[in-house]
Amino acid sequence: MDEAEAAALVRRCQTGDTEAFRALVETYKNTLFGVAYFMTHDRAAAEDAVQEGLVQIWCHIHSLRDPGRIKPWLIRIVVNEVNQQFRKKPAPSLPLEAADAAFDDNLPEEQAMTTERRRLICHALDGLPREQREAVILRFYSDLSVPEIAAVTHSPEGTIKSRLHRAMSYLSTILQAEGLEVEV
Amino acid sequence: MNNDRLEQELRTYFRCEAEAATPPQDWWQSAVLRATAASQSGPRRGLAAWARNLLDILRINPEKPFWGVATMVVVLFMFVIVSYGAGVVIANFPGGSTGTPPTAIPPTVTGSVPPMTITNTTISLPQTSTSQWLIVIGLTFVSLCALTFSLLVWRWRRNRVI
Repeated sequence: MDEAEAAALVRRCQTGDTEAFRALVETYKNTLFGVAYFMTHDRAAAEDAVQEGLVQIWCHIHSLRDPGRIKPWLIRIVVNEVNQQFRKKPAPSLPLEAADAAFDDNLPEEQAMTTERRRLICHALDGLPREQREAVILRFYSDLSVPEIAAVTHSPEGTIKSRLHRAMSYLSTILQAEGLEVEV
Repeated sequence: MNNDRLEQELRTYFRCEAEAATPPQDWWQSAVLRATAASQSGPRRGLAAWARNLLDILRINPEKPFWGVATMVVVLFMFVIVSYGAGVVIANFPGGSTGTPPTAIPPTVTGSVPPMTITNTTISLPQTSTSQWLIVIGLTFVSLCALTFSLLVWRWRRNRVI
């Protein structure tokens, strides 16, 4: 769905069209859930954040002035909901055993390599401070630009660039130490 | 590992993980239903909902401070005018207060009839009543400002986006 189509959907939502809202959610559901999931490390918490985020989106979509910028706006609401959850209950750090359990080892050899790679990246990401991980998720999963990430997280652009740079350096070092490049 | 390669790895990782974790279609359908029903199920409940409604009425929105300030100025003017009017009415209410009752000096008619000339009509309010009303208005305004500021900060912290 391109920007114009999304903007048209938003305008219909602003008139109270629930079908348009359903279509909008369908378009961005993976992005919204993914952001919440990667930030919380917890599927149930991510579902709660997304559910509450959808309520906020529906209640306030009439106040969105520029329908063309719907994606950062949606992500911003979900990120706020996740951060609100963190304020109530601090973010759990993912235990390595739990991370390991998330991957299925009973896979064919070619997929098992992929699984191993995913496991390494997951552990490396878990070692990042929350703000840096958030920046990495928004940049490389949500495909937001640096100015958009700055708007979503209410931080200066320079801070976001710095967080991304530090995160990438850390990940590169860790993954190299784990020998990921050799396997790729 | 170079940055392009790492970025590619991260994108692939995120995509795979998100696809595996995303809830099934029926969860999304019920989530959308809950979201749209939540705003159509009548008045909100609880203190937070009450405060949110009040904020909406007063247009207190960190993103649009002009409307909040304008609304507060209008509310202040209305409050002052209504208070003053109420003060005058109460002060003139017969037998209502222990202070000096207001005195109305009847118009003095001079000359022959017609014409009739009204020379003076005075309604005097007790000084203590006026100053009390000024204090009440001042305190209320200060309270109103404090409440607005608190709500603004609360909303800013709670929801920095919307």
